[in-house]
Amino acid sequence: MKDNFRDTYRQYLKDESRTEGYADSISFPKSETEVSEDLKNYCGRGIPVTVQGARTGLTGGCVPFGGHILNTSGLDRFLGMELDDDGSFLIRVQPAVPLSRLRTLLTEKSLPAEGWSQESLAVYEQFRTAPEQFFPPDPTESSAFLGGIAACNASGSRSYLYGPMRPYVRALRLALTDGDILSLRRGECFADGRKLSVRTESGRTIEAELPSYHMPSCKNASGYYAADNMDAVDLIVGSDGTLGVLTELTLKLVPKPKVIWGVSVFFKDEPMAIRFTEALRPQVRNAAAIEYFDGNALGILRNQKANNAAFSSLPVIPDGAGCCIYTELHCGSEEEASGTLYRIGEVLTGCGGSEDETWVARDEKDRNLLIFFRHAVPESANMLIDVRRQSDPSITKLGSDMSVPDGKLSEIVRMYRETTAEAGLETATWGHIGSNHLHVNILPADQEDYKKGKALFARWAETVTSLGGAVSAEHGVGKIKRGFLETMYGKEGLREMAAVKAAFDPSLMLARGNLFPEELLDETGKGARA
Amino acid sequence: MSMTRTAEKKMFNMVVCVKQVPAGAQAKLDPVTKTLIRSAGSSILNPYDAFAVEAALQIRDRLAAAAETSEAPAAPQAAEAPAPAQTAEAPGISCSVTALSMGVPSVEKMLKDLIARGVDEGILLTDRAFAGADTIATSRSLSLGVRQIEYRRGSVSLIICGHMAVDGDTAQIGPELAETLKLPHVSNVLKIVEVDPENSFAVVECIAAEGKQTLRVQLPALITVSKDINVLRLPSISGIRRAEHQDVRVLGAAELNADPAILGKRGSATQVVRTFTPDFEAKAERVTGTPKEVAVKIRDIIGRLIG
Amino acid sequence: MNYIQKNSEIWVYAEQHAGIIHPVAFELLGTARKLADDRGLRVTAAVLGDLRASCGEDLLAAGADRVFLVTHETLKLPMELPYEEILYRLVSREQPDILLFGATPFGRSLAPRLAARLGTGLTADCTSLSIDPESGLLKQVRPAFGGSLMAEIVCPVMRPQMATVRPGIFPRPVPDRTRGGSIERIWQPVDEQRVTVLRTEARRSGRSIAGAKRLVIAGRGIGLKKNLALVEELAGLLDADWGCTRPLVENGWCDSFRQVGQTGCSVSPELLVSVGVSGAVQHTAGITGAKQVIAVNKDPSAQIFASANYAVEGDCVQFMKNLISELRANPPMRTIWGSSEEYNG
Repeated sequence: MKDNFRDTYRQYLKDESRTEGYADSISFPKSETEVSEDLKNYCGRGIPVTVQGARTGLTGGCVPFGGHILNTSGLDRFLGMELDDDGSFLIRVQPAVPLSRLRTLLTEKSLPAEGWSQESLAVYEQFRTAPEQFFPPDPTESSAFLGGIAACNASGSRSYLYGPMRPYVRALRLALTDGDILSLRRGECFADGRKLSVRTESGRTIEAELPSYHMPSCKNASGYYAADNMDAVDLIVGSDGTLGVLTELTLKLVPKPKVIWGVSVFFKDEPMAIRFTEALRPQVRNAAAIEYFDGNALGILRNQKANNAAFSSLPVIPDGAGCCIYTELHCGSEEEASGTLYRIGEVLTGCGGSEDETWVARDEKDRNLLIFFRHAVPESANMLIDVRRQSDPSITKLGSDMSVPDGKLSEIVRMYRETTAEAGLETATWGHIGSNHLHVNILPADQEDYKKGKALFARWAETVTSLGGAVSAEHGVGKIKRGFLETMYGKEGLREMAAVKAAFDPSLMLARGNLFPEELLDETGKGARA
Repeated sequence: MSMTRTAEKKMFNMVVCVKQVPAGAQAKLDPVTKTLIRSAGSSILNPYDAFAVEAALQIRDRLAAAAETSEAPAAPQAAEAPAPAQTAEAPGISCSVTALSMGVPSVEKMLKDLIARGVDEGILLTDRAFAGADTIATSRSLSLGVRQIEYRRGSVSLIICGHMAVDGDTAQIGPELAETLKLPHVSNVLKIVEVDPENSFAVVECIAAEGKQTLRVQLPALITVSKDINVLRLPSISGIRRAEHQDVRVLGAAELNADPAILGKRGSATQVVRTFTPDFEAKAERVTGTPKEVAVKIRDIIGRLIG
Repeated sequence: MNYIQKNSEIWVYAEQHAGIIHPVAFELLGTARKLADDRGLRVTAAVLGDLRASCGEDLLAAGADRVFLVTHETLKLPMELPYEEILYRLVSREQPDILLFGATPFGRSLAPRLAARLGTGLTADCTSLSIDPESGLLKQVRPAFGGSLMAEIVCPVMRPQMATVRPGIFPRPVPDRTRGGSIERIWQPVDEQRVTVLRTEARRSGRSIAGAKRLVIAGRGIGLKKNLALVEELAGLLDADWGCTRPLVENGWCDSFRQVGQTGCSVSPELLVSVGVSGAVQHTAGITGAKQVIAVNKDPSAQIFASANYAVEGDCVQFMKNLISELRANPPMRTIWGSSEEYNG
């Protein structure tokens, strides 16, 4: 890579995982046609292409290691609206629309409708007078592009109730590496058992034998979705950009709940909080999220509030609080919300907690305070790492992203605690406890800790897999978690996935390094050609 | 005054004056009466009053904690942890926080929310007769409310107001109310250093011309608090239960024995003659061209303006 | 108590600290003088403190016909209760028609107390004052709802008609030492113990942009913290100070003294360049005093344009870069190539 390329385009060589790569060229196509041309131009000539969105990913999926960068930020238009069969509003967008922008426009009920068709405009009129709509998938980093969110099937705290990105993708357009376009609509193309056959716009048929593994029964963003008779759309969502470049997404909107309340409950210790979670789940039907913050996370927050002006408006955490569970209620009325609130009170009292040690956010100002609190947790941990990085630049935060099925929560938490204590590692834990999906963050003091942490993660991947869980619950696999993917599905599973990739991208030049080690890709290539 | 505790409980009653204001830029002026159209639509607690409420609750917590550990007077502000609302009654001191507001009937909901956050009682002064009041008429009406509280509770030791309301932004109510009640006042308080119910004084830190001042003020007194000095605590589940069963006291002009001549528009010394949109709205001259052309044009404009 | 008879006097309360008259007193006297000359009225200044006679002379030179100089060592530190008592007695005795205060922290605390005691009306933060030729009433104009609306207010019956005006809104008059006038020295001790000062702490950093004559203000539209370097550079080239909107302070990008707006400071520069500011009312409330505003924003419908004299639709970072190179290549006349740190506000 030329030095002045790095100087000018440095920011395009990394993502939020702090991995930095290298490349020879970059393009910013502004239309589907330009995307196709770029793909054909580079992949066709055997030059690797890495696709990028907002570069907020945590797994190095958009980090290039040689070749050409295809940055999609030029495709940021809203294209139209339709109505789904069940009457829901569908919105058609290009991939580079940030989630935050979609949210703002939905709240304002004002979309940029220039150039829309008559049909779209008619639906838009209905949308303007209908009750407020919202888009449920809520990855914490709201500056992420919708395309990236679809590529890694991202989730957020509300996925506990609403699910991840996948079900909300109702149609898509995928630019393939040979310049062709694949247009898919949910409900129109299904696999026959594990045999999938799709038709591109130019008439070419792509046939793929879907991997034979079984998806875990918990939150999962690890590798290709594979199930008997599955919808073709579901394969593309969560494929980490390895099958093609998304140029259009049709997304489903949902009416916004009339009443949204947030409830934070403080407990003296972790076992109490886990008991509460397991007791709460069956009792409360309208919880959109159940989140956890452990004692160390609260400790970091207390510290920040005391020492950092930017955090002075954090609410004061009760003195004796050992950990915190946050529940978000999505209700149709205040009566419903009150009723649920009191039931939560009963459950928590039953688990040994106190109704006094709770925070209830019923208006926007208080909800924003709780959002600030929840975002401050990972932010504070990052700041702590940044300080440590000053003495050792190679140190970075290590956060696990594994989930297990219901019933295995206590077991996995016990394992996390025992193994990190044994290794003498400092941690802070938070996450989507409702989905048995916690981010255990190792805060390394030095390289030694970092290595120990990575080793632990590998062990955890095995345990989680043996419990029927997922090694990447929401961050995707990208490059960093390739090893875990192998642990989860085995070499055979990886080979099966690589074969699917080769069917969509015979050049094997797109998103090299994502999901599969490059050697496996090349092996597959040889196998296909043989 | 001696420091020994007597058999009868010492009282320390506080009043926080709170106002409901329109959220964001949604306030409207009635074109005919030239008064604010106050609707329940999207209304919030005046942000400055939120700081006032929290300040009062923190004082109550500290006094209760001090009484529990048998220290008198209350120790200076140390840890910020608010004690649960129920321990307001502790041996030796009876402390209360009453939220007082003058507004439309729907303000009752806002007062109930404050009860859920730990305030002991909410009082709403509402009556058509109060409408259209300027700051003088408003402070007189509020003073009648304070007298009511004083009558019912026996005494009021401290009144806390937010520095200003974000819709009126005159910052006049606090000082005018203090004068009407003939109480000393301190504006722009940043920190309440000490409250001594036994010896009836408080020590506060406030903004002054030179920087900061620390003042000792005899109680009863009124203080207005500055922005961002604390974070209003959220309601708890137990607080919400309590608020559900507790009524807000709603008082009209009759219940206050108020002379109608001093209320509302009638009792106001000032009136709004007209409103108009500021001059410069139409005047923005668009500067267009390529980015380089714009830079040249702006440089010329700046040259003309400062040269 | 109150009185309704008309009198022919405009009074200005001259605030002082440590014996130095606050600039706003001179600004008010300048305006009072103009109003008085139009109508044939007299201007009186009242100053309280532990004072030298020369400050009375400064007040005469600024436009007062008469000065009440109330002095005693117990009045050295401005305090609401004793000052209110003295002013109440003076005003009750002399019965002025109009009484003006600077809207300083102390003025905003003292004036309402006095108004309540006199039972009269007070209008805060006026941006313009005039006397209606027909009714003779003082027309008090102030921004409402953060500046999106202006209200004209009168106090038809009660006297004096009271108003406060923020520093920097009215121009400072050129002192005219040839003016005559009388100074009445009043020796007035005060015994007021209810509020006492235990300690005063001088402002440590002393930094304020409130008095800046030229300002560049940055909003969230600058995108990244590092673009503040461009803001500083531009400000330097314009011999200006720089400020920001609240979100930048909350993000920890800027110190809070730079915050301009309802919960920050008010500014009234001759020239204000606003980059990447959306123009929410909470911010524009702080710039109503700006004389000329150049606003840059990517969004053509940004509210800031309603407060601007010149509107540029475009990316503010690009704008700054282009303007900086243009200013370096072709400096406008009298641009001083100094650093903005030297500016003391």
